[in-house]
Amino acid sequence: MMDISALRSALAKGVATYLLNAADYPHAKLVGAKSHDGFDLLEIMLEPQLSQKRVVRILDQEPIEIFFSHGDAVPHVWATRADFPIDAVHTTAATGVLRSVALCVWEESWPDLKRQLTPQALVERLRSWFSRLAEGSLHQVGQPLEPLIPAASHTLIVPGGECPERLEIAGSFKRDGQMFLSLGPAGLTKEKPADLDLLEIRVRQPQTHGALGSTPDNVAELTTRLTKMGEDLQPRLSDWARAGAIGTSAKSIPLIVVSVPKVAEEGDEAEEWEYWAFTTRGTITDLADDLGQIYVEPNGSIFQRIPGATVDSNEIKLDPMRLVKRLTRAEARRMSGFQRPETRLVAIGAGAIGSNVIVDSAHTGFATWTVIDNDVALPHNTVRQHLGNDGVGHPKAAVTSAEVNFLLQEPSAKFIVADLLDEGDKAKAIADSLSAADLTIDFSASPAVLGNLADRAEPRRLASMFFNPAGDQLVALAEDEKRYARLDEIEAQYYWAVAVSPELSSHFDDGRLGFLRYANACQDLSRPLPPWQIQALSAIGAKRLLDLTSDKSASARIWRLDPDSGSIQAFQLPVSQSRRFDGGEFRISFSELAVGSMTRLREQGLPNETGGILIGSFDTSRQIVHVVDVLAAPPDSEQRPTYFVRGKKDLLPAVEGIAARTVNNLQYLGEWHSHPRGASTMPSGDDRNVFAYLARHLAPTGQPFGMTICGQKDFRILFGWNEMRFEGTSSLLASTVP
Amino acid sequence: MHVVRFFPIGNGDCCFIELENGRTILFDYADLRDPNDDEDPRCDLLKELKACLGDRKEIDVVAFTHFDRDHCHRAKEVFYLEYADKYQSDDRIKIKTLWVPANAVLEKGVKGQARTLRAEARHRFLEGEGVRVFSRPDSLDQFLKDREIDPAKRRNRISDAGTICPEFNIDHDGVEFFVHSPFAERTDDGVKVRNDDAIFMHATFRVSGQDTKLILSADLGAQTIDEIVRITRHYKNDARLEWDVNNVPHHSSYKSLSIDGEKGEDETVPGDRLKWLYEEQGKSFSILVSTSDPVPSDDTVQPPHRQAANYYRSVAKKHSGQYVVTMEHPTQIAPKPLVINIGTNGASVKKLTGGQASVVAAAAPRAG
Repeated sequence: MMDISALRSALAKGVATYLLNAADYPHAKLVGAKSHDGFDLLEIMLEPQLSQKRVVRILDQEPIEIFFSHGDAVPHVWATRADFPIDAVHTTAATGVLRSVALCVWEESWPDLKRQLTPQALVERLRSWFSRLAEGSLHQVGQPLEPLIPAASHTLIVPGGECPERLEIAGSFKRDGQMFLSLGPAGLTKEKPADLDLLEIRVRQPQTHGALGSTPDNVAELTTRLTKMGEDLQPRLSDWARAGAIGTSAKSIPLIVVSVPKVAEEGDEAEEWEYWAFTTRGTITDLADDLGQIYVEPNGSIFQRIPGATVDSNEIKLDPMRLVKRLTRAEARRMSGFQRPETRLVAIGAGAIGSNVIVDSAHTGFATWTVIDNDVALPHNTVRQHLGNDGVGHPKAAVTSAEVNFLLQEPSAKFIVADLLDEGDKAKAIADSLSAADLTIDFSASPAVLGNLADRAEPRRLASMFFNPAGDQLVALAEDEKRYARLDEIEAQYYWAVAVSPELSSHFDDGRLGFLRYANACQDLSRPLPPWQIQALSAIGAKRLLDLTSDKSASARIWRLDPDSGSIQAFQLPVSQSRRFDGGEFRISFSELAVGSMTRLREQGLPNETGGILIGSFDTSRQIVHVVDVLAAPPDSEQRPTYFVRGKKDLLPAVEGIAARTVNNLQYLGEWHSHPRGASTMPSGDDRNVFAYLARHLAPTGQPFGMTICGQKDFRILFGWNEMRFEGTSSLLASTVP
Repeated sequence: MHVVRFFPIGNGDCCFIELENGRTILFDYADLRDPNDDEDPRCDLLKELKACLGDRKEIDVVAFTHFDRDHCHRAKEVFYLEYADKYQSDDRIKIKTLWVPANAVLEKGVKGQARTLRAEARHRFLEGEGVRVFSRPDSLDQFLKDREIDPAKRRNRISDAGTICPEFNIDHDGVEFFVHSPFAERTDDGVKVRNDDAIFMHATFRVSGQDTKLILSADLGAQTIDEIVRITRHYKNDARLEWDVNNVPHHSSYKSLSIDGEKGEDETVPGDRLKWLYEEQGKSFSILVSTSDPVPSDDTVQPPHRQAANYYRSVAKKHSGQYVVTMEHPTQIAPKPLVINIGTNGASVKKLTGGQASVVAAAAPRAG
C-alpha cells in the first residue's frame, strides 16, 4: 500500500484516500504520491469514458500529475503522456524541463469551486474533462486547448483578427508583480507606459498551421525559430537593446512581441495571426549587457561595445507571457454560443427598449447594425436607457451606436439621425439601409412607425418589440421571412390574442384609453419604472432577436414579468396569414383566423344561415382595415334557411370589453352572415339593405364599415370608408401565398 | 444508442445486446458462479440479466453458439422451454427465436444441459417455429426426413454462412447479423459441417448513419477462423470482418490464434490471415473483449493464455484501443459487467463510478 501519510495538502490526501479506498472502482489509479517543499504531487492514471470517434486523441488510460499547494491554492493538473496531443494545444507553458501539458480544468473561480469539490468530485471532474475533450464538446472543433500559464505570468491582450500594421502598448496595469498589458494599433495611445519598451517582430512570410510548435524559452531558440520563418532576430534585438540602454529607456522592461500570420495551406491569404510575447529577466540595459552590446561601469555609466561581444544566447532566458486576444465579432459569436452567420440589422428607435436590446444582443457579435432615431438623449433617459452621462445631449442613435462599438474590437454599428415618418434628406440613406438589412426591428414604441414600416417594400423582414403600458410585459412581433404575414397584420392579431386571453387580461392596464398603446417609457415621468425591470425584459428581447435569425416563421410573443417575485412567464400567440383586398384607395386584410371562424360557424349553423359581427382594427392615416376575427350570432338572433337576423343580447358589453382590453385598438367593424348550401355569395336585396344601413350609420363617423357573406366555396366582402366602396371575393381554401 | 453487455462469469460466454428500439438478443448463457461461495467474484448472471430485462419476460433472440458448458451452463433453469411442461413456470424467461448451429440439433450422445437444450432446439425445428438453425449439412435433411418432414418446408428456418439473419433489419432495428460460421463443406461424402460447429457472428450496428461492428467468435480455433477469413476475402466481403468490438475467441486461448499450435515465448504469433483480421480490420480506439478469467502471469494449460493476451494487447495498442478482460473489469477484486454503449460516436466502454449515487440506488444494510 502506498504511504500517503506524508502528504500535507488536505485535498491531496483526500484524493489519494479516495483512489485507494473507494468502494466502487473509481476508474483512476494512484500511481505515486510525494510531498515536496511547498506542494504535494499525485501521479494518477486516469481512465476516462471514451467513444471511438475522438476529436482529440485521448487514450483509455491517461497519466496525469496534480500539484496541490500546501496552502489553499488551485491545484494544477498536467498531462504527462509523452505523445499527448500537444499539437492541438495552444500553450506557452509546456516548455523547458516539464515535457507535459498543463490543463485548464477549472472554469470557475477556485474559491467558489472548492466549497463543494470533494476528492471524488475532483477526480470525476478530471475524467469528465478528458471525455469531453476527446469528443470535442469541451472546445469547438479546431479550437485550440485553452492555454494555462503559471499564475505568475504576465498577461498581454493582443488584437483579434488581422494584426495592425504597427503595434504599440495601449495600456498597462500591475497587480502583485503581475503585468496586464494591452497592444493596439500604433498612434492611438495618448500616454505610452514609461517603464516598458516594445520590440515588434512581424514575420512577413505566412506560416502554415501546425508548423508553429511550442513557444521558445530563450533567445537562441527564438532566433532559430525566426530564422526558419525568414526573420533575422539577433541584429534587430541587439540594436534595439543597445539603443534603449544608452537612450532614455535604460530602466524599461523589454517586451518582445512576435506576430506570425498563419495560413491553412501555403499560398493562402493570412487567415489568422498568432502572437508570441516575452519579457526578459531584468531591464533593457541588462538585456543589452547580456547580448554583449554594452558594458556598464561600476559607477553605472553605460558604454557601447563596438563590435559587440560574443555571447551564448541560450543563456538569455525569455519569459513567455499569457496571450489573450481581443474579441472580434466572430469570436464573440463563438463564445456566446451563437452558431449562425453574421446578420445585418436596422434598428428603428434607440430609446429604453431599443438601446438595451441592441447593446445586450451586440455582446454576442451576431450582427452589424444601423441605428435610426431622431431623438436626443436627455438627462432623465439615463435611468432607463443604455446611456451614460457623457451621452446626454447627443442623438440617441449616435449614443447607442457608440455603446455598441465600445464592446468589441471592431465597430459593429453606424447610425442615421432621422425620423422615419419625416425622412427629409435622409430618405435615400434610410431606404438603402432597410433594403440591405436581413431584418429591420422597430423599437420605436410607435404604431405609426410600425405601420409605416409594414407598408414599405424595402425591408426584407420586419420585427417589432415594445413594452406594455405598465412596463412589465414585453411584446415581440415578427414577420416570416417571405413577409406572407405583414407586421401590421400580426399587430392586429396580437391585440385579438390579448383581448381573448384571460391570462393577458391586465396587458393594457394603465394604458390611457384610446391614446397610448405603450408605456412611453422615456418621457412618462409620472410613473416610476425601475431600470432592472426594463433590463430584464430587454434581455429577453435580445434573446428573441437572436432567435429570429433562425426562427423564420411569423410570430407574436409576450413575456410577463412579476415585479414582486421576478418570475417571467412566456406566451406564444397564434399568428395567421391574411387575405388582402386592395380597394385602390383603401386596403382590407382578413385573417385566416376570421375566415376559419366564419366557415366553422356556417357549417355548424346549416341548414340555417347564421352570422355575427366583424372585429378588427383600422388605421386612418394609412387607410387600412384589418379584420382579425368574427363573433358568433348572439342568442336572440333569428337563424333560418333563408335568412339571418343578428340579435343584440350581450353584444354591446362584449364589444366594449374587447375595446377596453385592447385600449380601443380592436373595434366593431361590421356584420357578417352565411349563405346556405347551393347559394352563391352574391348579395341579396336584403344584404344590400344591411350594407346601406351600415353606410348610413357609420360612413359619417369616418370609420370603415363592412359586410361579409360566407358561402360554401368563397366569401364576399363589401366595405366602405367615407365615400369609398369596395366589393370583392376570396376562396375559402386557405392560401399560403396571398 | 444500443448497449452491448458482457458479464464477469469466469471462462464463459454471455453477451446481452439491447437495441435502441428495445429489442433484445442474448448470445450464450453460462452461469458459472458457485452459489455456495460468497467470495466467488463471478456475477449472479440471472440477477444481472433480469435487471437488464426489467419488466420484460421475453428475449427476441437467444443464440447458443454451441452447447459446451461454458456457453450454456444453467440455461435450462432459466429459460422457458416449449418442449416440456416442467420448464414452463412463470418466472422463466421466454425465447422468441432460438438460434443454434445445425450440430446442436444433430449432435448425438449429449448429456445434461446440452441434452435439454438440444431437445428444445429439435422441438422448435420440427414445429417449424421460433428457431433459426445455422448451416445445412446433408444430415440435417436426413434428420427431417427420418421424422417425415419435407426438408424444403424448413428451409426458411435455416441460414447458411455468408447470409444475413432475417430476424433483424438494419433500417428498422439499427443492426444486422451476418453469420460466418458454421459453414458447410462439400466433401466426397456429401455436405458436412466441421469448423468446431460453433456460431461466429458479425454484427453491424447503425446509429444516425454511423456504423459500429462487433465480432462474436465463440470458441473457434485458429484453423477455422483462418478459413473464415479465406472464404470471406474470396467473396470480397472484407467489410464483414471489420470490427470495432471484438469478443476474441475461446477466452484468449493461443489455440485460437496460432495455426500450428505454438503458444510462443511471450506472445503468440497469429497465422497470417488472423493477423490481417486483428491488425488490419480493427478500427481506431477499438475494443477487444476477452470473456475470461484474469490473465495469469504464468503459463497455464487452460485459457486465458498470457501469450495470447499479450498479442491481443499489442493489437489494442496498435489501434489505440483497449483489451478488456471481463474478470478484470474494472478490477479483479470486484469485476462488474462490461457495458459498451454503441452510438453516433462508435463504441464506448461505460465507466461509472460509485459513491453517493450507488448508495442511494441500493438498499442499505440492516441497522441494529
